[in-house]
Formats: sequence, structure tokens, C-alpha cells
Amino acid sequence: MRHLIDMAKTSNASQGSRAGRYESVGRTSDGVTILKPAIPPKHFTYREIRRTIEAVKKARAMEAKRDTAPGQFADSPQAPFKRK
Amino acid sequence: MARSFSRDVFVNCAFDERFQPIFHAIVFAIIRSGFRARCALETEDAAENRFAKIQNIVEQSPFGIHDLSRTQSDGDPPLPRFNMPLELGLFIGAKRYGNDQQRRKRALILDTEQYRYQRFISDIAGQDIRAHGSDPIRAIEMVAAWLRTQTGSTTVPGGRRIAEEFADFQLSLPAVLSGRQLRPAEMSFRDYVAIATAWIAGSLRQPSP
Repeated sequence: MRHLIDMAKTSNASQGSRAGRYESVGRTSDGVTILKPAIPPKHFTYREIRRTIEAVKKARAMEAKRDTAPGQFADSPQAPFKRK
Repeated sequence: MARSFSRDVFVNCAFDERFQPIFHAIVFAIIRSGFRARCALETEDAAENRFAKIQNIVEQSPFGIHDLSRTQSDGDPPLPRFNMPLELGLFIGAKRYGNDQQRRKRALILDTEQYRYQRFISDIAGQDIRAHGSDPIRAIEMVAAWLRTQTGSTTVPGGRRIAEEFADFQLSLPAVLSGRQLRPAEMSFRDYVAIATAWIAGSLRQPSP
């Protein structure tokens, strides 16, 4: 009987562990619910990494825009320098 | 969202640098498929508590992905690392001897070659064993297809699409780490899961109505 009590204690302990309840952090455009990690990150908070990722994506988008912007000829009206 | 015994996936594999591309690919596929990736690296305690913590994670995870690729002789003298087969045994034992919930456990076993396991762990013949050839893309495809089959989910995208998203994520990862002033070697499993989760949730968000 003792071993059954011990097994039940283990089961209860694991359910009360840090992993905890499932929490959604968003839903993808194809309908998949993305779950918050079971254990928090070690070197930053979840909020901090979200902000960092947003900044990285913004920077990538700006770089992509710059790389695909049409070239400007020196004698175009928009050119910063005009020939004399 | 209420807790249900259905979304944790125990990842049992090597954690060395050579295997990292496959490990990161598997974890990404798990998160992208709407599950939580769990593994022994969650624990940072000393050895005497570590195995107890692993047992807890196995108990909490109805799904297990066990990659035996790195069960091979290494070092001097050459000896195989046996943590992966040990944890696979733990998972199968929980399924066999556990309660009704534990008996519903499902395992996917991965290796580099289809029948290599027969040379060192032939007792597992009959389990779901697949070969990824050390290719992260194939690993992603296998994991995504398996999780989709296990849950009957029709929303989880195909492995090829997840692999493309993973490639895009990998391009951003160095900049994200740099933004947190972290060197790649300092990134822990817990950090990687958080970064991948935030990236996926942010990139592929359903547009607001």
C-alpha cells in the first residue's frame, strides 16, 4: 500500500511542477496555437526576447527595402548631387 | 488554456555541437506544430537530482522523440554514450507500467540510418523508427508528419514549409543573440525554446480582425 501512496505523491508533485498550465502566446495564420515554453528562459525574460526579435525583424525589413530600392542616376531630379 | 495531458513532447537526443543542427530543427518543428518541447537540459541540478527531474519530464510528456544517432563509440577508450537508450527505456517503461494516461504515450525513434539500431539495441524492433540521414530538413519533415498523425491535426503545416520557416529563423538567430549580448555558446536550451517560440508567434501571427 505504501508504494501506491508514494506513486501518488510523485504524480501530484509532477503536476505541480514549474512546467505548469498551457498558455497560448499566439495563433499562426494557419490556425496553430503556439504555446508558451514550459520553463522560462535563463538569460532574459520572454518579454525582452519578444522586443529584441521585433527589433531584428524591423532591421531586416529595412535592409531588404534598401537592397531592393531602385537605383538613382546622377542626373535624375531626385539625385542628391547635381552636375554643374 | 486548461492543462491537458496532450501537448508536451520529450526530446531525447545528443546535445553536443555536432548534433545541434538536428536538435534545433526538431525543437523548432515541435514548437511550430503547436506543442511544447521538453528535455533533460531543462534541469541544471547536480547529477543526483537530474535523473529524478528527467523522470518527471517523461511522466508529463505523452509524446517522446528519441534520436539514437549519437549512440556510437567515442573518446579514449572508445565507449558509447548510453543516456539516449536509457531515457528511451524509461519512456517505454512508463508506457508499459504506468496508469491509463501513461499507457497512451507515443514514441518516435530517429536514427541516421534505417536499420543501424539492430546492431546495438535490437529489442526496439517494431517501434516507429525512421532515418533522417543527419539532415535537419528530413528530421523536421518526420517530426511534423508524426505529430500531425498522432493528434489528427489538420492545421499543422507540412514539414517542407516548416523547414523553410526554420531556415529563415536561423538567418535571424545570430542577430537576436547579438541583441541580447549573448554568444551562441551561452544560449541555453531554455533560451533557444523561448527565442524560437517568440519568433514563430511573432512572424506567423494571425492578422487581427
